[in-house]
Amino acid sequence: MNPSNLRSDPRLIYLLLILVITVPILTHSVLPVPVSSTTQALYDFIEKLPANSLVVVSFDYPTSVVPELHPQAIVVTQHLFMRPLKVLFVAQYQDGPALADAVLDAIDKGNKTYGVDYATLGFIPNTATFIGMITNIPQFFPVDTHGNPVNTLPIVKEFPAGKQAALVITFSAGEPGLLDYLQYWQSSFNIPVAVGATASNAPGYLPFYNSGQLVGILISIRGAAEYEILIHRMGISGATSAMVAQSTSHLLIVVMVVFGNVAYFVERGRKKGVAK
Amino acid sequence: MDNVLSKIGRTWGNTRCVRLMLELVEGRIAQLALLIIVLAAIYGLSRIAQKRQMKTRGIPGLERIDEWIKEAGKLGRSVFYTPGTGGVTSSDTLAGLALLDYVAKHCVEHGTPLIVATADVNVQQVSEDIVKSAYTAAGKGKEFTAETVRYISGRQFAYAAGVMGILRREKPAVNFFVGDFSAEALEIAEAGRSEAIYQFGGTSNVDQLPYFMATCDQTLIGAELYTAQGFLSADPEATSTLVGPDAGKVLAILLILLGAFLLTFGNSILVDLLQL
Amino acid sequence: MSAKKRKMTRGELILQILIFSLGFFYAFVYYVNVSTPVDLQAVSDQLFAYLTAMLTAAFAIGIINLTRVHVNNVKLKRPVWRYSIVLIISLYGMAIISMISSPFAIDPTGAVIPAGLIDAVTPIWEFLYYKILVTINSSIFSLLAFFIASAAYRAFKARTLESTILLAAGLLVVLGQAPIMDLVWPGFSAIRSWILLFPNTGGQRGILIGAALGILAFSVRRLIRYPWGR
Repeated sequence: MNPSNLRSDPRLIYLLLILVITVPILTHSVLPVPVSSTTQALYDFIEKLPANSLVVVSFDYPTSVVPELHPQAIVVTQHLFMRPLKVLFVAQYQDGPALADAVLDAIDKGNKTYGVDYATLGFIPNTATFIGMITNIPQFFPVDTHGNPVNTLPIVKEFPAGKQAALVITFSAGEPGLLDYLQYWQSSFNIPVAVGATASNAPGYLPFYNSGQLVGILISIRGAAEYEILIHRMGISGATSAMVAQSTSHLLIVVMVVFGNVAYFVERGRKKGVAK
Repeated sequence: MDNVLSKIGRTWGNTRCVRLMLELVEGRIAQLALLIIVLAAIYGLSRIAQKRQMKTRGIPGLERIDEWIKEAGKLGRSVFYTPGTGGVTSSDTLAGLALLDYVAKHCVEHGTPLIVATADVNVQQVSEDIVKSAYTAAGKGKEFTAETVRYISGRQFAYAAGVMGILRREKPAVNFFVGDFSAEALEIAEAGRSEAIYQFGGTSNVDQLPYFMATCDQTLIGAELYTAQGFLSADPEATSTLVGPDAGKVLAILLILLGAFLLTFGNSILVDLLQL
Repeated sequence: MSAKKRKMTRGELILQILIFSLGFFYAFVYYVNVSTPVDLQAVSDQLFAYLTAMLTAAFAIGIINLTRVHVNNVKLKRPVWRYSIVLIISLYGMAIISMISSPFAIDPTGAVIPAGLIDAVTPIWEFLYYKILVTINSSIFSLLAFFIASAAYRAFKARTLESTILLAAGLLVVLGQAPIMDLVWPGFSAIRSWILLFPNTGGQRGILIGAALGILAFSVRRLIRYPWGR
């Protein structure tokens, strides 16, 4: 295998990557996953929330990142429904309401009732609504996604303002997303915020966790796998079954990088020998 | 201290017939003070730089843009430009459009075909105006067609797929990816890499910068995106504005060092002041 | 870029004053709360809502541009004309179906559109959305994995000291991210966390501060003097 061929025609790399990802998934391999501190922090925070607290869950990702963030949304929502909490679902992306419905279909809702224990308010179209709902939800969300007047829902009668939330969880793929919640909700009203992030965005959010502005971070599909273990619902989101595939693909990248460097040094040594 | 702050924070004014209530927003007083200080520092340093005609370091690659465009024209190939997926309210997009102005003028000058792809309808209109003005100013208005500036899609990966398709079919010699990019950055940069002679990237999104660094010949990193216009301008006033933000950086470094020093010895006065 | 700064015309001067006033107004309202005699925060929220409406209204122009380009492709039988037909059918078809039955339907309660039609269209919308749109979007996103692999192979070379440090840090983070490596040695995860929480955080904050200052200077220059007359 000539390294320079791989640089100009990387199809062999692509083929190897397909193999190391598809074989573990098709064979349903499972791997135990240690839980990271940022995931554990979010789990502990939700566990310690007082009963009947309001949690706002925001779907701030498009359909393209469903494989990374949707499993997180499923496991966290399941955890929220396992506890005696009230949940409001909103979205800063147009795809959010449909994805929220998909998550609600995927989880076990137990004896939770729509309108009493949870409600889907829908898409937040502009900053005015985003800021306004902090103080007055019915004014800025006249109807929910099912067409019901929001001020008739018991959960909104009990919590008419977003600032009454004990926690905001945003599944964020970029902007709009986490930064808006930090800017308007956390900094002005001290509402605790947590985030479910993609692998590429997570390093940028870690400074906020470090400084205490975030109470927890779920990082990519691995965060969902870790959370499945914490809530003892393995397989609910499909994340744990992806961990072997993730491991093998990461190892392949490491092997390819090491191979590329070895080949680079061998070639350099040969050129120096020829020059002499 | 609270009494002093409350007197600064609130002001009742009586004009002849109208009462006016001004109140500094809590949590943003220190921000405002810092903003005023930084703006004053930027202005002061810019004036000093202009008087002394200070020279600044160049940004590698910016000076070679004209050369690359000329070479593409000689080869009979096109130049591709995209300002990313951000809207007109994004600073990165505005900086990308400022550079598009320069690139469009030089493409027209050298007779090099230009293709612009956008992901936002408002950016598409602004881009069309910029490029059309460049053609019209050179007396080549008829060479501008509807296909010169193309709206692809508002959806991130539909846009990425569209751009990858353009890059594979049109095979431009020089690609410019300068603006607000998210996860699609690597896809389009890698797709363009196989056929392009030169690639020029730029964004302030720290998550995507590594991908541009790996795939582009030159990359504008963070603040360089906003100072590119000054580098390309022969106007001494524009050049002096490159130096201004450095004053803010020096202030930031001093604050960081002072804060770290004070916190190490258990004094949090700076932290408390900055939280006002 | 031209170094000449010509005098602004009257129209440009009026627009520049408007631009500066609005910019200053938004900055002022962010830092100062004025509730009497006028609630300026409410005014700024309302203005922003108008801006959003104006920007959204331009959406029609994007659709027109898209339609024009692809209809031209079909008329002139360019090499990709068949794909242009698919695009036009998908664009208008999905728009019509979504208007009839979706979370954004124009008549969700069936006051005007017959309920039977809505019920008939709902499974079509769900199929197109969940089985096609979500899947295609995810597929294009997943191409990133392949591109990352080829970019990493090409870019991570120990040519200089800095690139060697970058290579080592990158490999350690990738190894720490692979769950299987925690079974080999738990230290990989700890090293990855340390690299992400400390050097990475410091570097990102540095770039963010520099970018923020650049945005500040860039924006103030635009507010004071927009580059009229390109």
